[in-house]
Amino acid sequence: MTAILRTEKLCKTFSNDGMQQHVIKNLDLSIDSGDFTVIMGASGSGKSTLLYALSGMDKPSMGKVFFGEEDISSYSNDQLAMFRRRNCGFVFQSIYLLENMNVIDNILTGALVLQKNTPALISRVKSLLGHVGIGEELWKKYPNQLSGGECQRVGIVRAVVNEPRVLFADEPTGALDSSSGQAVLDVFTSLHKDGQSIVMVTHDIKTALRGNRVIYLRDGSVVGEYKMPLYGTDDVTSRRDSLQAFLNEMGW
Amino acid sequence: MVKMDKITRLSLAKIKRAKKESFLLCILVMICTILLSSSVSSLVGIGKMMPSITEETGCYRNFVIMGQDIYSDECLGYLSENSSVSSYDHFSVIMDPLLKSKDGDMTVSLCFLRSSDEERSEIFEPEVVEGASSLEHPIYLDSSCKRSMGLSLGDEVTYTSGKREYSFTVAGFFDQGLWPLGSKAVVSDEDYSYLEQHMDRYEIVGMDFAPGVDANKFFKSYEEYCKGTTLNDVSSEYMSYAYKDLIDTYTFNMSLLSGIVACMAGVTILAILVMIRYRIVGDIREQIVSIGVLEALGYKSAEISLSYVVEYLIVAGVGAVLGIVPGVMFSSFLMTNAATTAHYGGDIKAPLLPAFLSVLGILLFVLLISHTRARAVRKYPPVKAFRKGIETHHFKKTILPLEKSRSNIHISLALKGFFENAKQNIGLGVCIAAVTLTVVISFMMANTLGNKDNLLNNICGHELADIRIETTGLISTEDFANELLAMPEVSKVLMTSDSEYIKIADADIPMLLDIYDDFSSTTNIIVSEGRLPEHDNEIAFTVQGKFIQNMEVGDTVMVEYGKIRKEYVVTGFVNSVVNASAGYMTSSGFRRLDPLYTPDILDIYLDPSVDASSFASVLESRYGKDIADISSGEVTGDTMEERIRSAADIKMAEAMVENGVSYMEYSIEVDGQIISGSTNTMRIDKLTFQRADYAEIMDQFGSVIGTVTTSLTIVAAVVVMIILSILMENTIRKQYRELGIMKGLGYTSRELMFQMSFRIVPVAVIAALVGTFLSFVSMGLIEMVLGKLSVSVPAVAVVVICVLLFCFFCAYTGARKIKKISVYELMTE
Repeated sequence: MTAILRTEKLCKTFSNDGMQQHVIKNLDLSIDSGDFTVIMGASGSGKSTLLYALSGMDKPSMGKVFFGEEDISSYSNDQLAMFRRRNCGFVFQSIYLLENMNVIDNILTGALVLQKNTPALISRVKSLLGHVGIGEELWKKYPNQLSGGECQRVGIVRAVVNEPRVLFADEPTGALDSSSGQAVLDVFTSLHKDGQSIVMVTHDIKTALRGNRVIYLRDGSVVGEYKMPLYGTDDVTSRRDSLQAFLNEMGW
Repeated sequence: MVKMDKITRLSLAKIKRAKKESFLLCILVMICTILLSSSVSSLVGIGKMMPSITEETGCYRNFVIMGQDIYSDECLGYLSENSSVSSYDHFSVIMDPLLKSKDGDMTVSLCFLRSSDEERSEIFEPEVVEGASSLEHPIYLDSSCKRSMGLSLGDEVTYTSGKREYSFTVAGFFDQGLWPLGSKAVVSDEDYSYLEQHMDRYEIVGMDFAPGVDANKFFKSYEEYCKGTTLNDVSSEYMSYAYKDLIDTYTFNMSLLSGIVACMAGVTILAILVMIRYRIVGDIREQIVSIGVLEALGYKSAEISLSYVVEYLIVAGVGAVLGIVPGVMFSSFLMTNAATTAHYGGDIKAPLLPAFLSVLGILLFVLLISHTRARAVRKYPPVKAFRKGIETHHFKKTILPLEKSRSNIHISLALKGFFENAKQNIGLGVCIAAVTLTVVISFMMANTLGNKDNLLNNICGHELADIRIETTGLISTEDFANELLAMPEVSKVLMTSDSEYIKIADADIPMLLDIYDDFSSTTNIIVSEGRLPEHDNEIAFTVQGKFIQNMEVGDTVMVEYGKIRKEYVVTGFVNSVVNASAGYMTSSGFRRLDPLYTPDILDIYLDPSVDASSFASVLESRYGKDIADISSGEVTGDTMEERIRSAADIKMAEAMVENGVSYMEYSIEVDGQIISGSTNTMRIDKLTFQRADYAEIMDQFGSVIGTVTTSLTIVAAVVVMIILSILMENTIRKQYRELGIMKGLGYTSRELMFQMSFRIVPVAVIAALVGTFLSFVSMGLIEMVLGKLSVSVPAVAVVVICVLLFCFFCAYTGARKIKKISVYELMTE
């Protein structure tokens, strides 16, 4: 497997009223293509900060982030935006759909920034929506007319419509009830099986089970890592127990 | 009190939160205050100024000007017997229309009087220089000359006309009242007699009427009476000036300028309306949850809406306070200019009350608008506010679905934004239309009237020969013209006259005729509609005349010349910025009115390589200096014969100037030698450099137009900049979340800035087209005053495109705050 994401001495520091807070400290990390990497850690450990630094959503304070062979750490904001549209898809806890647009327009807003409006694109959008369980009757609906789970699934379709090299997800089931969260995770699993590289931040063990690699962060540094077989290829109970054991060892 | 304090704190917090927008709105209110207070104050002030000047100076209010060959004591006798006239007097003045100040090289509108005449015309209590009575050539000028010409007591002033020079010492300044012939200059009796030889003399009758008398009606009957007292033709020599018309003439330019400034104030008021409305609506949407919290904390919705009213009153109040002083100063400037135009040099103060009332009007307007819009807070009780009202719920039909869009995504999203903000677009559109109207009209005026060459060559309305000669009539003008034409330096000679006045029957406006044998040989008289006269029953007028007299090409008009009336067909209208009331007729056409007409003026056009001044010397050496110069000259010469010839020439010239002698010859025997000569070599009555003289007038006129149009364009540009800056700032604040999401999806700041600014393009295009259409419609009003404006559709199109690009540029730079939106902060908030 080749590394799709790599960091070298990555640091991220925030200043607040003159106080410096070092959230990520000299972090060296490599994420392989095709992996479903889950980043876990206690609150304030730097999970989301790492995710946003890896995805070009935020710039590191020091160190480098390589996306393939491309060093994105020195990019300007507009260059990062161009990079994100070509390579990344995002799913957020707060979903962030555009409230003044219906389902189809929300997805096309993400798609048309990179692709031309062709019948093939429209049919792909519709097929993806069908794939995540959003029926035709919901396509013209606005976000405030959908449930949280439906919104998140629309958000996933928007994230993958441009076939990103890496799909980043930050607590994608955090705001959802159990059954909606499960449906969303099924979509992630399905995408991973199709070869999609995924980097997900979560503090939920059920969500983490869907990944095949778990990285544990503490105080901005990677303190442990755990690898699992592909989800669905082993027994869920034993998978859960062994992940729980790893997390206990990490001080979870 | 506590409640008000609470509300004020809320308002101040809002101002602090939107510092930049509040600052820009404050600037807009300041500009509006300057424009409105100055225009209202000056319009009111100018209206009151002239009656006040009339009272202060004790001058007459109405005047009739007549040529000296027409005036007789009988003209005064009529007035003494008429109960309509409460007081009257008669004064003689002399003047030269081409008189220039030597130092400033500016044309001056100056008429000379004796002190005995001036003392009867108004209160004459000049501020005098020490030792004024011992000055050799004293001159008392109206006090506006201090401002307009920068003169002080004791200064030496020299006036020139053609090649003649008149030097004086400023002995005093006096406040001049209402007067129909420009600026007064009081000179000694000796100097007056000298000047009289070179200048035209007019008789002026000043009069005041009893209450209720219609001045123009009286002047009509008075004209008929005066005509009846002489066998001479009086139509060309009789001009009347009623009080109201005179005031209008003097205050027209500044009133027009004040009116234009008031229109600009209207545009800024509109901009304020749009901005406040849009900002409050946007602010309520953005702060809806905070509003809910405040309501939950016990604030009444009326108190919250009052906080908006107070916020805008504070911002507008600051802007108004900042604007009132420059507004009053600008008003004083306009009024002082109006007073200077009327040749009044006393102290002028702008009335403060209209300025304060206009400020109060602006604040009331802001109060009304903000109160009306802020009432929307009532629609959101706490729970509804927490749920962000119904504003975020979209159950309406999707506008421009992206699925069906085939254009660029950025344009598609911009158009979606455009249609989703229809109400905001109306206000913005009205502002852009008003700004386009201002800019296009300014451009048309600057393009036509701000260009000296264009003014001179195309729209001056008169022929501009290099040299104009008024002949003494010793030989036929035609023979003289042929003789001049034979000279290699001369390219063209036209024969004309410049002292024939006509009237259109029943219209009491004298029109100075431009008469030429064949208008096809003229260069600078250019029609904007129809054609110039070719036959003896044809006449053309100025474009302004067309509007004033409501004429069209093909109309038949009855032309009155003295006691003769003839019908003429109107063939066309000429652009004339010099004289709005001019007429154009062929020589044969004029002979229908005056069968004895012979031209007495020669317009000489020189080869481009020939210097007019040098050629004038050639003419003088060949045909003599102008006779007034000779008559007032001194005997010169080294030999007896030269001195005799010089003395004889002076005597002959005096006889021609003073007694109208048309031909003389002399023969003197001295020691057996016969010295003889005649007036044959005195063919030039007056020589002027027509083109150069008009070039200066046009230059001054062009500069004024240039200043006015540039100022208008700058104000329009500032207004557009402020409107769009506030609009963008507010939109970004309102759509902060959406823009952050878009950034997260990979849209660059530049793309989002483009989308945001492109949203205004449809409304800007429509508004610009409407503004352009309105400018073409309103052009007629300007043409009534200034003559036909040249309109090049491609050039106007370029101007409109520039306006659009400027709007887009302002919107684009106004949207640069998008760059500061941190997608990371948005995602982690």
